[in-house]
Amino acid sequence: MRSIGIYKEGLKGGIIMFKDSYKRANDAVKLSDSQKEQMLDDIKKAKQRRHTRVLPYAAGAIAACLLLLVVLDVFSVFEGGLFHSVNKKKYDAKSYADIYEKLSPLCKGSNDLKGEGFDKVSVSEDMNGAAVPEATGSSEEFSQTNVQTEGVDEGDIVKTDGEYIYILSYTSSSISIYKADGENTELVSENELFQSSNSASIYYSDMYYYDDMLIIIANEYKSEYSNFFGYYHNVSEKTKLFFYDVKVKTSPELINSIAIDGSYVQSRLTKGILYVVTSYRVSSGVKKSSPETYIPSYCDENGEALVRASDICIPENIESASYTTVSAVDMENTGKLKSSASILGGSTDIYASSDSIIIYRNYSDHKETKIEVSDGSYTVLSDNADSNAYLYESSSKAYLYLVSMNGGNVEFTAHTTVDGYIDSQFCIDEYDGYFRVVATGETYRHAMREVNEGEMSYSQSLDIAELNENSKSSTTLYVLDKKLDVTGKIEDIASGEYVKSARFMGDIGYFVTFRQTDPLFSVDLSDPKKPKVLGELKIPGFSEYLQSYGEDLLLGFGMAADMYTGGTYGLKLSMFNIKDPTNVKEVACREIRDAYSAALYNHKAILADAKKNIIGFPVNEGYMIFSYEKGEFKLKGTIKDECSWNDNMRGLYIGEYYYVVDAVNVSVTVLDLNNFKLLCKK
Amino acid sequence: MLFTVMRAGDNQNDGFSITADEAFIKYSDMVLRLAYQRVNGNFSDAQDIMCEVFYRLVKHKPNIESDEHMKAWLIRVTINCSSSLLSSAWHKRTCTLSETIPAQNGVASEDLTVYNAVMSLPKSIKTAIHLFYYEDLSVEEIAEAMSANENTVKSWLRRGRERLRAILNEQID
Repeated sequence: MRSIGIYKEGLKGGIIMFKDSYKRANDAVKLSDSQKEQMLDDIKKAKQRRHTRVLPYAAGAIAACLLLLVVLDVFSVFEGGLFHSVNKKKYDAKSYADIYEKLSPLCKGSNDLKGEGFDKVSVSEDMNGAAVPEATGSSEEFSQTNVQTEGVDEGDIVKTDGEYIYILSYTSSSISIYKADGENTELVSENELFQSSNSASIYYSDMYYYDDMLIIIANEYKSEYSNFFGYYHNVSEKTKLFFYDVKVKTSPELINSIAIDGSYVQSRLTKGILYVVTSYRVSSGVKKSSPETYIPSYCDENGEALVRASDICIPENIESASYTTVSAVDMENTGKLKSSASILGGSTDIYASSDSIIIYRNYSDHKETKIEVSDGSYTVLSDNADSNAYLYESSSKAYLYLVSMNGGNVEFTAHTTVDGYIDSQFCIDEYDGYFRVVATGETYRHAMREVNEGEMSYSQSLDIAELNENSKSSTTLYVLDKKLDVTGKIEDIASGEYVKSARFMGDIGYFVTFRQTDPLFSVDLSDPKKPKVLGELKIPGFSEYLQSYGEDLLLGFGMAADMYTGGTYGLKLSMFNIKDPTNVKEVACREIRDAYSAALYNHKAILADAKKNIIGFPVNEGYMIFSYEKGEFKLKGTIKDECSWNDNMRGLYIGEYYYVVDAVNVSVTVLDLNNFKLLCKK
Repeated sequence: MLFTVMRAGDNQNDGFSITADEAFIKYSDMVLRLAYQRVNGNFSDAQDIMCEVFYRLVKHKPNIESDEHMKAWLIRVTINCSSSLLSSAWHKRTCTLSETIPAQNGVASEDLTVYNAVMSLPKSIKTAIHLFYYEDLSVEEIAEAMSANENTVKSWLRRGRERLRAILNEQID
C-alpha cells in the first residue's frame, strides 16, 4: 500500500502525511457565519429580482462582454465561413450501421456514457534518419524542442527558427514573437489568438514552426445548460488547428484552420506532415438513422464531413463509447485533412517514429469479492453471502494500437494488449522493424468495509497484513513485430519496483526502475526473439529522464533519494559511462537539494546538448545551466524568475547566445553562451 | 492509498428533501474550497463562484434525490462555473495564474507547502486530487462529477501523486 507522505530532512517528525496536511490547509479556507448569512440573503434577493446572474462583479462582467463583442465579431466570420457550412456528408450508411451495432450496447442510458481519456502519445524512432526541418533565415546553429525521435518534431509552447523566438502563452492566449539578437533581443509583436466565446472555451496547448508557418493546436469546449439534468455540461469538444503565416513577423496572418471532433491528445510533425491524435466521446442521444450522433466529424475548407466508415477500425473488445482518431495534414496544403483514421477505444498517450505511431492506453482490470475478516486475515465468501466486507483486486494493463503513417495516409494496422502500464512515450521505441515496450505490472489488493453513518454510507479500508505484502509490481520488456505479436520478452526484471525512465539506442535499451535504490538496467535487443539483461547498476536516487550525451555517455535527470528509506530530497544529475553496456558505471553525479523541476515529467523542459556541452532545466522558480567537464557537473549559471510553475520555462540557444523563455510572464532572458553571463531580460 | 471512500448506494431515496438554506449551510464550505482551489487561490473569485452555484440551485431547483446527489450536483456546477470564469476574457485580462497563498491565519507552513503544491498542478489533476483526498469521493464519483472516464480519473490521480512526490520530496511508504 502506498500513501502520499512528504519527507523533509530536518523537519520535526520527518514524515508529514499528505492528506492530513492538505485537510488542515483546506479547513482554513472559510467564510464567517455572518458573511454566509449575507451571501444567502443576496442569493435570495437576486432570485426575486429575476436577475440572471448574481455575480457581484457586474462591472467586470460588462467589461468582459464588451471585449467579447470585439473578439466575437472576428470569430463569427470565421465560424460562419468554416464551421457552419455543413456540406454533404460522405458516409457509408451500411457500414455506419455496423459501428452503431457495436456502440449502442455501450450507449444505453445516456448518463452512463463515459469517455476515454488520453494521456500521451509516443512516436517510434527512425534510425535511418528522417529529414530534420531545415533552418530558414539563419545560418547560426540553434537548438530545437527536445524530442524523443530525431526528425520527428513535437509540439511545445516555445519554438525558434534560428532567428526569431515564438512563444505561445496559454494564459493570455497570445503568440509573442521576439527577434533573437543577443543584447539587442526585442519583442517584435504580440498577437492575440481567438478568445473563447460565451458558449465555448478555448485552450491553447501546442505550437509548431514549419517553413514560415506557425501551427497552433487548441482545445475547444462548448457547454450547454440542460434543464433535464439541471446543470451545464460539455456538449462538444473539438481540437482546432490554426495555421498562421509568419513571413511578416509584425503581423502573422491566419491562413487556414481545421476542426476535428474530440479533445486533443498529442501530435507529431515529420516529413512535412502533421499528425494529430484526438479522443472523441460519443455523447447522449445516439440515433441509428443519424450517424452524426455517433461518428466523429471534421471540418476543413471542403466543409464538414464524417470520418468514413471504411476509415474506422473496430477492435474485438470495446468497452466504452469513444474513438481515437489520427488525422494527417500536409504542410504544403494546410486547408484540408490529407487523411484520417479512427479506432473505437480510448488512449493515454502516443509514441511516434518517422513512419509509425503507437497509441497506448493504460487501464486496470478490476475484481471485487466478498470476504469475511477476522484477526487481521480474511476468507473469501460467495457473492450472495451476508457480509459488508469486500476484497478489491486490480492489475494494470495497456492497449497498444499501431498506426502506419504511409506518408500522410494514416491507417490502423494492428493492436494488442500487454500486462502492465506504460509510464511514458520513452518506454516505447521502434528499431529495425521491431517495437520495444517496457511496462510496469502492478497488482493492488485491498479490503474495504461498508459503514453506515447517519445518511451517508462510506467504505473504510481494512488493515490486513497479508494484502500489504501482496500488492506488488514488476517490470516486463516486450519485443513486438509489425503485427504487434510478441517475438520475445523478459519478465519480472525488477520485482517490487516501478519503471521511471527508459531510452533505447539501437540494439541496446536502458531503463531505470525505482522503489528505494535506482537500478539502471541495460538490455541487449539485437535478437528480437531473445532480449536479455546485460547489466544492472544500483545507485541511490532515480532518473526520470535519460538521454545520450556524446560518445559513450548517458545523462540521467531525476531525484536524489535516501538509499535506505527511499525518501527523496532534491534533484539529481547523473552521468553514466555506457561504453561497455554489460558494465555501466556512474561516473559523475550532482545533487541539488530541496529543488524540483518540471523536467522531471516533461522532457521538453530540459535541454541537454553534448556538442555545446549544456544541460539546462528549470529549478524551483528559476532556471539552471550545467556543463559536464573533466568528469564533473559544473554549474554555469542560475537565473531567478518568478515562474509559479516552472513547466512554463524553456531554454534554447542560437549562435553565441542562450535564451531562457518564460511563457507565462512572457519574457526572454539572454545569456552569453561562452561564459553564461547575464546580458539582459526582455 | 488512503481509503475512506464515499460511496453512493444508499437506497433510502424516497421522500428526500433539502431546502436551499439547509444545502447552503451543509455544503457552502465544500463549494468554496473547491472553487478556491479551481481559481488558483483567488478568494473573491471563489466567493463569486460559490454565490453563482447556490443561485443556480435556487433558480433551477434541480430534482435532487439524495444527499449524495446534492453533493455531486454542487461539485459539478462548481467545476463548470469556475471553468467558465477562468476562461472568460475578463478574467484572463485581470488575473495571473500565479497562486496566492491562502491568506488564513494559523496554518502551519508545511500545510501551506502541501496546499500550494496541489494548487500548482494542472487543473483537472488538482481537482481530482482535491475531491479524492479532501472530499473523500470515490473514483467513480469523481468521474461522474468531472464528466470524465474512470480510467482518466485514475490516471489524473496517479500523475497528481507523482508530481506531488516530485514537488514535496515525498516518500513511498
